[in-house]
Amino acid sequence: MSTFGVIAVVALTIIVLIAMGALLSYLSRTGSEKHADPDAELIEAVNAVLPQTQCAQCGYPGCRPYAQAIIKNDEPINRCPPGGEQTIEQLSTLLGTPVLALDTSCGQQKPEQVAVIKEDICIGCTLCIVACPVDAIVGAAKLMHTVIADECTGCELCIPPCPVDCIDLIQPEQTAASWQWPKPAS
Amino acid sequence: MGMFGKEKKACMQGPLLFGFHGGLQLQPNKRALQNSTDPITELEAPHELVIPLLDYNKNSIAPQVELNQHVNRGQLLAAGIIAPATGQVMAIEPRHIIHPETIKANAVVLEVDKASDNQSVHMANQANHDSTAWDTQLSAFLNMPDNVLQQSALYGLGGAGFPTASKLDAALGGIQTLIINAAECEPEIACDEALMQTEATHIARGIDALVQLTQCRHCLLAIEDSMPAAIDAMSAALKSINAQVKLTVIPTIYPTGAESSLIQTLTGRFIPHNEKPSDHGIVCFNVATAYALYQAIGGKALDSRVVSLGGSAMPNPLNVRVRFGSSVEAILLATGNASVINTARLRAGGPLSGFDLDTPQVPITAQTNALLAEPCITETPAQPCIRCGECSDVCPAKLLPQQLHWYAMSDDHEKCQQLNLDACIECGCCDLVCPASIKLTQSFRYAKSKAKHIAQHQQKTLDAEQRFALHEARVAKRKQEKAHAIEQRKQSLKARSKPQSDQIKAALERAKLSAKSKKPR
Ligand code: SF4
Ligand code: SF4
Ligand code: SF4
Repeated sequence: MSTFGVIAVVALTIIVLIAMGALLSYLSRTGSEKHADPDAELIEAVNAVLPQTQCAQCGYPGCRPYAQAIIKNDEPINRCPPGGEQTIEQLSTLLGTPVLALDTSCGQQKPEQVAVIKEDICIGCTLCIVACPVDAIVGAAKLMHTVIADECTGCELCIPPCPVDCIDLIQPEQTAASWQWPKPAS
Repeated sequence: MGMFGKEKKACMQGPLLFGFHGGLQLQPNKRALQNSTDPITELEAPHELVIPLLDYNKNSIAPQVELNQHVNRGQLLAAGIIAPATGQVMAIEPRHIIHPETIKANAVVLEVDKASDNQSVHMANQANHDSTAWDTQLSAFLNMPDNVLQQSALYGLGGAGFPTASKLDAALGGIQTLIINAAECEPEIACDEALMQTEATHIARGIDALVQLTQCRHCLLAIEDSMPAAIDAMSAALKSINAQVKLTVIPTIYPTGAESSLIQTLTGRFIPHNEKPSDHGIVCFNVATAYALYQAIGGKALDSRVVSLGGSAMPNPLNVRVRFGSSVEAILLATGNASVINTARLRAGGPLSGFDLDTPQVPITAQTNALLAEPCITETPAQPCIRCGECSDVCPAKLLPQQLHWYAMSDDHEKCQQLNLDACIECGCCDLVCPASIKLTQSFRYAKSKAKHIAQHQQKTLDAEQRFALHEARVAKRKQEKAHAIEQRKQSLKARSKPQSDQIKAALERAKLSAKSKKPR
């Protein structure tokens, strides 16, 4: 084969490849534009049922990713410990699938909890701020940090990164605003 | 039973009155006024006052004072909350509040400085008797009402405790009818009645100020026919003011003093619970709020109220004027009622609309209109509903309590909404007539607070989701930026690495060679 021949083949291959790439990318783009993900609505509905604790115990980095996995990958509906039985029931009604027992390999359902930072021990390392998925911790480097109790979902993700173990989980306090009248007997 | 009669219709239809659905004729039983010659006894501020740092919606608010700080009577402790006495801030910590179940809220604990506090009382009394100043004060107020309203922390003294400034704000402009509520229809509660007997002139001035401020067309003062002394005092006092105020005597029917019932009785208009009276050109103020406004215009902030001590087990029933933040215990001790502390069932508010207290170590607030002591009784257990329909006959909100109860107890919130649960004013009439002793009102309170809780929780979940989305977007952006930065750095390294890498290669070659030659064999 002559040098010219080699060059021609190579050039042709390159042109074909580029054209294919362009075609592919065009196809995929028009695809996503014209037919929006048909599952989007369902994913939204599943996400609305999930507790938004964002704790990642389900094995996904948050509630929405888990909702996506349930719809797209047929992930079982029993992997969310904070939601517990109630969420599983709601999901089963929504999706028309059988009710399952909570997969305890993901974790156990716990009573509502919030994180508090022992402010005299905190060294202001900012590691918990980075870990908090819902931006519920405020503070600046080397200054004491505080958890905004109203915004904390109790996901526990801030606990392992803390180098001085100064974050505790407590039951949220009964406040005048959150108090409820007890149900009368019968 | 025997406490109420149901033959109310006959006396209801006065020529100018409209009446409202349901309600009960109850024995007024105002012990606080029956046994003493003095309608109101002024109590000295106790040693300690506890002022919860809560706003109208019961949310915590931040203190504006510090530990150990000296504060003067009337000084701001937090937004809309003032010091009821002169003294020192001993603590800012969670304390029990007056509440159906013992719960705590962050509070300012004030140690009262008796000497300077007494002086403030003395000065206030002197100012009260200087009547020539009133006209000047009133016109100054009408020119700049906001000054007074903001400084004096006024809120309604009828029971709901709504901030007066906000109510006036909503009312300014389109008000046709101003209603001054002196109905005080619930048994045992006699604080407004006592106030009208002793402070009629000053109340009239407060009403005058409200009439001129709202520029209403009509003003009605509604008093129940069971209070002749108060009616006499007020009708005399109203002659001394410029404003035209019509004193309307209304029949004594519970709960005629509830805003919706009163508006209906006086105007014939039924205002649905989700609309405000001001949407209909009407605004209501409690008679004690009118008095508090009079005082505020004279420079005295709202820091005390009249509380009726009553109930069948109270040895010395009377009306007392007490500073906000005084504990129930201190009030009972100071009035010769200490014996009830451990022997009786204590109750804050009226026999129907109030609630039992677990402990007397709780501070009173602007909403505490009565403290009752009743014998401890074992409650009659609820029987099944016999569908007699009595509860819906007496319901002033025209609800179907027996059906609502069923849905409230089975946590069916949708059905509760359909049956208009939110319109329930928690008057307790249905409980009182129910032959099966069903705790209807408590189930409604339960269902309402649960619905509120669910709504709060949903909002919280929604907020968490949004913050998570923002967090994710931020993390992704940072990752992209980092990747971009690394890529750029690689590119720039590559760009200038050609000559360098040749040099490095050469150097490496040389190093290898010299290493080989030096390697000992
Ligand atoms: S396990 Fe945690 S992250 Fe996963 S869906 Fe449940 S709350 Fe959300
Ligand atoms: S408590 Fe509620 S349901 Fe019962 S009578 Fe009063 S308004 Fe009606
Ligand atoms: S009054 Fe009591 S027994 Fe009668 S219908 Fe109402 S709930 Fe039932």
